[in-house]
Amino acid sequence: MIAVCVSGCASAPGWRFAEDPGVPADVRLRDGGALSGTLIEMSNGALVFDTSVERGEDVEVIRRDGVDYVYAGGVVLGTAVEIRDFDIVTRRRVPLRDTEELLIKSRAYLGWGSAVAGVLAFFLVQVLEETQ
Amino acid sequence: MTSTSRAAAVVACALLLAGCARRVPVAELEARDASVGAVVRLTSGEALSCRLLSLSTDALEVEVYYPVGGDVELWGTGEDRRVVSGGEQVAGDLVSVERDGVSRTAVVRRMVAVSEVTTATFHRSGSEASLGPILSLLVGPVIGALLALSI
Repeated sequence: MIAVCVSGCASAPGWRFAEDPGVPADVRLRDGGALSGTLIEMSNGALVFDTSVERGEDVEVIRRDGVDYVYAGGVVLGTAVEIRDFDIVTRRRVPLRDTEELLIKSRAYLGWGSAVAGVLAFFLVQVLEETQ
Repeated sequence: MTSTSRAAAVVACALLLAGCARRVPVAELEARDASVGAVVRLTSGEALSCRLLSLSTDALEVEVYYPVGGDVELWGTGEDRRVVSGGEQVAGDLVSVERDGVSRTAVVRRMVAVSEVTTATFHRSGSEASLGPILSLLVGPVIGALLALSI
């Protein structure tokens, strides 16, 4: 357990990086807004993020010229990367000049999936102990 | 060790792991030892595979890694040492020469104006990318099981 903890805290600065682009990040905008998602790239003076947009009554995907655009409340948010059951992964462009602060999430290994798996394991072990 | 202290130890380990997660301002990546890679394509046609040190609205500061050998050579000595690729000195300041067994890699620090960048993709460090799936798969169930056994 300690070994897992220590290895989980380790990082290896240097020149070895993942092949696919994408870094978890948060951005605060000058107008007070905020975005949370995966920072993919910077191009033409803008940051490109993949964010999750929850599917709802005012969210729709409209295809134009072969591209799926995501609209929320009649305003285009970005382009659809992946349409899932409960949300749409949307690629959005944020001009660098509109950003107040960009924060990179580092060493964020654990998420809701880990917590759910932990709860399931807890009850499973309890049941196994009681049946023995 | 009592069951209560075991449970406390497990929770402490979980908090230790959770405490390793952090949000780092992109202007302080080097100072906070956060590792983000970048592949930067410039308007000049040059492509850089590098480590991102900081990013502002005007410029990126990067560390570019040049494996020494073939077209890449180290010329000069001491403070005049420089990296030459294809007969031309590379832009930036030579920071260090890292050794990995018999191979050497020259680390060059460089400022790139945002206006010179066509595209720049950002990448997680190799260790984070490989550790992430393993830890997220194992840690939750292990902590849950240990808590169940402790209680």
